[in-house]
Amino acid sequence: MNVEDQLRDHYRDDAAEMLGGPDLSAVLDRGRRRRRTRVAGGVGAGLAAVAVAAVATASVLGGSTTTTGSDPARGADPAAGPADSAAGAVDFVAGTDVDDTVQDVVASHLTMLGAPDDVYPSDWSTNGPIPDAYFAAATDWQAAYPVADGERALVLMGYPKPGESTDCPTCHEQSVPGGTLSTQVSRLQTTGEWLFMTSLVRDDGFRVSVIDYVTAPRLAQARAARSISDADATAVVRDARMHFAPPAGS
Amino acid sequence: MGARPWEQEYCDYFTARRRPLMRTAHAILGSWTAAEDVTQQTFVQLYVYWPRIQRTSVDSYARRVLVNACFSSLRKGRHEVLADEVPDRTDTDAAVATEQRLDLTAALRRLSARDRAVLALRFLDDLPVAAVAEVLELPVGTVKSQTSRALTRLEQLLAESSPAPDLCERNSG
Repeated sequence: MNVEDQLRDHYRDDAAEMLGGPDLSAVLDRGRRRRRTRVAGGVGAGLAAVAVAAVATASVLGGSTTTTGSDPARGADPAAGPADSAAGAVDFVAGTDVDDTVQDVVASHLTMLGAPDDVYPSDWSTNGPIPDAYFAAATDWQAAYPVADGERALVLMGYPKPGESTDCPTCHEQSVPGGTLSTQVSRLQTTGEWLFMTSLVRDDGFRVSVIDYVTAPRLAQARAARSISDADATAVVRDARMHFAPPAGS
Repeated sequence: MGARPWEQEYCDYFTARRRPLMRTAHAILGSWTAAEDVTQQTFVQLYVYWPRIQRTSVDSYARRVLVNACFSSLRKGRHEVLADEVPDRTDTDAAVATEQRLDLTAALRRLSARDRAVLALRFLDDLPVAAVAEVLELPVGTVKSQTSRALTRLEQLLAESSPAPDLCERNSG
């Protein structure tokens, strides 16, 4: 028996001796507490950001999305999560108003949605978020929304990766002022979700997308179950506020 | 505040992956107690970031968090790598098997944590080299060479720990 087989046997025998394991209720308790703690700071910053909203909006229209960071307000309700906040946009990432802008845009066009689960910066080489502190280096921003039972949405915007083609042979494309609007329907093999994507690729390559994920056995049922219409998604991707400053150093 | 819409999905994932992840942690740490602790930490972190994690890469993300938590735990010296209790068996085959397991356990303890992680991901989780590289955030070539070196080292350690049968027979005769 070679050493690889011995190892496999060893691991298999080990598994037979496994006792216990993490307890789901304990994990949920700790996870919820951590999430509340993490978001409570964001709620405070969101409240403070209201004061600079007018300035921030002007900055967005002028092409800059960075504002002076605000310290989280003291005394924010530590039990409040994003969905409980009555203060409008939650500041998920301190020191920038990009996350607030995304929430504002989505709230104005996709009125059926509540607060996002998360809004975060990302980059071309990261499959998910980069640390919040590195937001200035973000090449894209993403906002994850719960929509309904069996439906979720992801709103993304980002700069094109150098050298990467934006061609989409399976998309339905049409030219619109300032860019190319496209829609695409596909299915994720891993989760079985139907994916309805609406995108605008602006003339400079900057892309804004709304992806509606719907769980259904058939496409027709997924279409019928969708809460987000193509028209509403189009309004989001064509909203001029969906923009942020290019990554630092680019 | 009611349960978040994605919590059921998270709970299903927890139920399905709790034991496999704990096995991986045990293979790196060598202790079920430590493995349980690290697996719990991993699931708490998964909960916090669940909405952010792309569903197609949850396993990879979870393994990365788990492996990093194992390394961190060992760096902090919070858990020593322990030999697990060996069942008391009397029949000869079982005794031989137990002895081999002890040798292998001892040999694995003498590898680095990173080597144990590579071996666990390759031969316990049966991940392809590319997937191991993704979890450990290493180039594929590095994973290949590290796996090869770890296996060679393991063989050497096992050889060192084996008795020389001919010599024993001569001595006893």
